[in-house]
Amino acid sequence: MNVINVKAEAKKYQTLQKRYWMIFAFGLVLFLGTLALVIVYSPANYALALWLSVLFSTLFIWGFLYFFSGPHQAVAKRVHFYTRALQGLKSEEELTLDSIGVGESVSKDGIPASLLTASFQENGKSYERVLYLFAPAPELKVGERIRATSFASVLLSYEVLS
Amino acid sequence: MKEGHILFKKNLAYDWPLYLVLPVVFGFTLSYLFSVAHQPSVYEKINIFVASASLKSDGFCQDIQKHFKDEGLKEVTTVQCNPSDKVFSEKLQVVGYGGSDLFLLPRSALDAIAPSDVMLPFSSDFSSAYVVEKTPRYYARDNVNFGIEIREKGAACWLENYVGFLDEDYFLCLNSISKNIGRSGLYDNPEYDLALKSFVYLQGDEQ
Repeated sequence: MNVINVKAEAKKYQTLQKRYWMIFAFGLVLFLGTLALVIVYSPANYALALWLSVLFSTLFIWGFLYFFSGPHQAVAKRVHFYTRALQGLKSEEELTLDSIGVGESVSKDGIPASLLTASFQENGKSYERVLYLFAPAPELKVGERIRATSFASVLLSYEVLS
Repeated sequence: MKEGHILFKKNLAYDWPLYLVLPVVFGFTLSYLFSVAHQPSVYEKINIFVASASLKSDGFCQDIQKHFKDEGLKEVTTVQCNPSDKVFSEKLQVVGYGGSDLFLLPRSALDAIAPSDVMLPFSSDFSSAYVVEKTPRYYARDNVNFGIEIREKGAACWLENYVGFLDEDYFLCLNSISKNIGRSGLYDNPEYDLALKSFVYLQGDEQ
């Protein structure tokens, strides 16, 4: 059972990132072009044009900072994670589920996640294993034994054993 | 989108100085760009080299600028140097020859240089068009006129309001490489004649 389709998610967020860049580039060209025209064609007494340019530039800069520290960063973090997940080594292990967290209380690599606590046996001893869930997995139940495939402690897929 | 907004709020705690500094820096950059874009062109400004004991530069420049404002004169600047200064000759040759349109020089300063190097020789056509005085007195070298006398030694002159004249005859000359002397100099640009107009004005034609 797939929790995350890494290939599809990577493609989805790469496309979104490209779209963001295109919107930003278009906005930047439009802004700089307009500014250049205002500077060149402003009247000799350019005080008003200067103040208006400063005002609109301030709004643009704030928008630019918001864009890169908010929406763009959220997408960039996901692209980064999924690109690594596509190429990196996945770990496979048999686990018994102890608890399944709900909500976005933690973050993994800057991506909101919920926690899944499980345990595994090794040399007759039981050890705790914490995994992150990027997407809800409603079919999982506490006490189930699963074979989990994960990357960087993020659950990608599982198979119910019992 | 919600996730982005949460990230933004989290990052704002660290990024807030950027929200203040970047607009200020960009504002100064814009101000500079506007000033560069609106800088007077070479044919919209004139520079006058004055060899005198003192000069009330602001009043002198404003007087000329006010007079020719409607004709497109946007900036008048001066370079002043006392002929008794050790650096006078260097200043005249480096700053004056290279960047001044008009020269206001005493006879001794003109005697010490080769006017033909840079001063505009007055042809008869030029004199009849731009010399105001009916019986003008020129500064001549080898029978070529290079300057028009605007103040005789000891006599009064309207420019005394601004210029601390030395006790000598003073002459007004034009720089032959000026771009503001119509087609009289090196450049054939008849529309750009603000230095010529100032030349006429400084002779006292319109006082």
